[in-house]
Amino acid sequence: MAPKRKRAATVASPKKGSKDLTKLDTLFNAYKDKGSEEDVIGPDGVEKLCRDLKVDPSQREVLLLAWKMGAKRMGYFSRQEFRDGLSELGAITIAQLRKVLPRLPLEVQDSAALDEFHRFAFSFCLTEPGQKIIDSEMAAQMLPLVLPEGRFVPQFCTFLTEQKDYKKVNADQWANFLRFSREVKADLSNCEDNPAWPLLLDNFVDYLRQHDEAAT
Amino acid sequence: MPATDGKKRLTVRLKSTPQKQTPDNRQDVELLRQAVRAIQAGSSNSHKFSLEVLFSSVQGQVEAQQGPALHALLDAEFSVWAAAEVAALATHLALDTTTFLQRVVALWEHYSHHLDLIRPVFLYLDRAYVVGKPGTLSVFQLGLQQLRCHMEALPHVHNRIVDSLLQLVEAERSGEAVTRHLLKHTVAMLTNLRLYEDGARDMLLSSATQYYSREGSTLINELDLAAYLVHCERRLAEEYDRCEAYLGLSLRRPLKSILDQCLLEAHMSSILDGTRQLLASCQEQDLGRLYSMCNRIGALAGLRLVYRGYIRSAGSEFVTDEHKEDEMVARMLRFRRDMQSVLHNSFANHADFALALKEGFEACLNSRADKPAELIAKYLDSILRRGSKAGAQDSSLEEVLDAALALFRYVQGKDVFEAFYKRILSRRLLMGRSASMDAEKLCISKIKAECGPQFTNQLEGMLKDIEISSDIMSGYKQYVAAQPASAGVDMNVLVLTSGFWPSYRAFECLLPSELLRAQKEFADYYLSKHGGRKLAWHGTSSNCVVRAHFPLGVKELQASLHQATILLLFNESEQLSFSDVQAAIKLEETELRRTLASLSLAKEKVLRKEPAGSDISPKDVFRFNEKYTSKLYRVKINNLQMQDSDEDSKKTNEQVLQDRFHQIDAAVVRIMKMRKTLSHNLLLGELASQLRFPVGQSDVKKRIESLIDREYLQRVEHGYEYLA
Repeated sequence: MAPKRKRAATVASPKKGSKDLTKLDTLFNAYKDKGSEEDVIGPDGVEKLCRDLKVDPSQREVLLLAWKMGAKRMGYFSRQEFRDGLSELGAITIAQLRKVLPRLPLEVQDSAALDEFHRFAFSFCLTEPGQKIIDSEMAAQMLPLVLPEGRFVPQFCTFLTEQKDYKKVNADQWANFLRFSREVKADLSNCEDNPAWPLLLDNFVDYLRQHDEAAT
Repeated sequence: MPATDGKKRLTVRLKSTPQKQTPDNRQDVELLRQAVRAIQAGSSNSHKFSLEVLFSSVQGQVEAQQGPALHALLDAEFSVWAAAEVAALATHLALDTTTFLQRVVALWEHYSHHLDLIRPVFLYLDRAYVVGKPGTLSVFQLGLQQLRCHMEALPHVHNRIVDSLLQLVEAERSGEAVTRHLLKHTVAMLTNLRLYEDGARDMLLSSATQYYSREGSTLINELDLAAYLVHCERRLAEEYDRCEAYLGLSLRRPLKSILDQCLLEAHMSSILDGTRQLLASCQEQDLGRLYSMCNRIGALAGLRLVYRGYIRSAGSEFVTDEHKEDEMVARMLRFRRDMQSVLHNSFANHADFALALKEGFEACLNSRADKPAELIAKYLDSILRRGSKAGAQDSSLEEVLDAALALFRYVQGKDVFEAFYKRILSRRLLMGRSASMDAEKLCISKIKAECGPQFTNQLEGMLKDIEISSDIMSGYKQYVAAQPASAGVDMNVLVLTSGFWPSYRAFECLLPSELLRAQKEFADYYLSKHGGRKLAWHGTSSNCVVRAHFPLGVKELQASLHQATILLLFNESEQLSFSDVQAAIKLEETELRRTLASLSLAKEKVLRKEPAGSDISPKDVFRFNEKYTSKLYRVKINNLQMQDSDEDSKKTNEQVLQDRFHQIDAAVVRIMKMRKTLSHNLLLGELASQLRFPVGQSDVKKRIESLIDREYLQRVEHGYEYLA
């Protein structure tokens, strides 16, 4: 089950007027997946949007944009998500949106927002209905986007791809890594303060210590 | 005069007696001096002095207030005398030790003897003068004092005496014969001169310390521990004897502590190292000696650690020896019996050591997870199969069971034991291999006492099923006898309650019509008695006896149900292919292969396979083996499935593991439901007290993570919260 999202800014302000909405709809329609029965922008549309925005689809900004839209599925934006997200950002044209994008990383400087973004990134990776866990590989790719400057992130990603015990990562492990990255010092001196780290992180600590020993 | 006391009367008279006219002082003094000299010289003319005259002279002098002068006179005389004696002794310094000491003792005897003679003469001086003046020495003491002074004045003489004493004592320690009375008198002299307590005694002790620390360091390496301990004990006895004989009882305690210090405490680590060897060979007498020594010097804690450490390491060797798993329990039982006997006979059943025994066994039996529990269950199986014969040698069956269950008590993974015991018990009961139902009941009652009724509930149920079944069978036999058209198969049915028994894999198999009829007859009978029950036939663990008419003789074959079913097919036809058999009895393929292999490839080849080979293939053809023969009339055809018991154990172990996961889950939820929130460590603590098997940190974490996943729990700071 995806964590419940409590996002204050999901409600599009209707005061902007229906004019903005129409513009957004037009913009939406430009990228809409014509072949699909659903009213969504599909992967091709997203790619086109990124091209127009002059960003790479694998860039952090795109993930942040998806977060702002509250996108539920990776590679898809529904009309509602598109409308809400863009009107919250105050952008109704591509040019405006392009200007807004560099500002997005500032939004997750606050730790509560980062929590939320981090949680979002996990659920964003859940593509199948009823899916609760993501591939370790996927987690290792996603994590640097979410926490580009987080402590232990590069090591943890290498660890995730090297270790064999866990092929999947669950929400609990995902959430605990953020805490781990925030709380544990780089020399691991205080990681025993919390004995309740998930086993995956215990293994990670062992892995780091072994590497340290090997290095010295 | 009202005085009653003689002494007092004397004093009174002294005071009341008028002073005598002072006689010629100088004459009296001279007389006394002569007398003293004469006594000292031991000359025979001393008798010319009348004691009475001397005595009265002394009295006269003292009463004439000449006490101090008289005292000084004696002092001077003694001084000259003692000086002469000591100087004479000094000329003998070159003599050998014993002769020298003989001189010393002669001097002492002479001196003290004559002092004893002089003393009565000056008794009045002592009584009237010395007593009234504290700090003044009595006549006798004065003599000793002078001798002492002159001894001290010539330190080489004094030292020689003490050295000689030390030398002889050391010689005696080294096993030489010495004249003890010499030593005794020397010590007496030194004591009287107050030279013993202050000087010689300490030197004796320090020489003992030197001697024994040297001896300790050499002997601990030269002797084996047992001999060393005997030696220590002998040394103590010797020193005690020496104290009694001449050194004086006051030295007992310091000498004992020197011995303890130099021979035991200083080498405690080597001694404790050697203790392992004593334990390994169960030298109870030596261990008992060591125990009492450690007890004396307060080193029991160290001994206890060695005891525990030895049990743990030696036991672990037995437990982890994978090549001798079959003997493990027997070896552990022997080991435990030995260690207990050591506890009893050597360590005085000390409570701390009993605890060490327990801790040691717990540590070694749990040094390997689960396997010991499994092996104990199997060991009990071997006992219960042999029944009362198992305990024939020196102990009863009950004692053997008690010993095995004592080991079981140390094991933490009781659930593994339960699983295996149940599995093996079921096999024993179903195959009729149990030697005695009473023994089974006894064993289960013992397990029940150990682990509680819940633990043995199913086991008791199994026994009850077997008992009830025999009642049912006797009823059924009567019923069949009254029935005219019965199947004519002598059938014995065990009705088992499905919840109690371990689950066996059931193979569907098409039975011969005779058996089917018999089954139906029994089912009718049973269900008429017990309505509302459901009977399911479990062929896999059934046994049959079939009679086969081989050309070389009639044999009774004891076979499993599947084997018998296949054999019966050959009543109809001479040869059958694999697929024919399969079509006829519809047995699952791998089981069919196994069964055919047991009939044609194993020890008793009652079927002939064509073509010959070590594998059963679907193209094979089977024939009745006309050449089959055996020495026995009744032949047991072994079931091949019995052999892969390794797989069986693995399965049981997996099952136990699964059960454990469920139990951890249940316990976590139970605890969290009660506590609502709990830190990780507290939760671990509570779990440890609730679960009856050891849990690893990582196992628990896995289960907790799974519970978080399933939203029973959520994380809070350093702990968990229960989600209602």
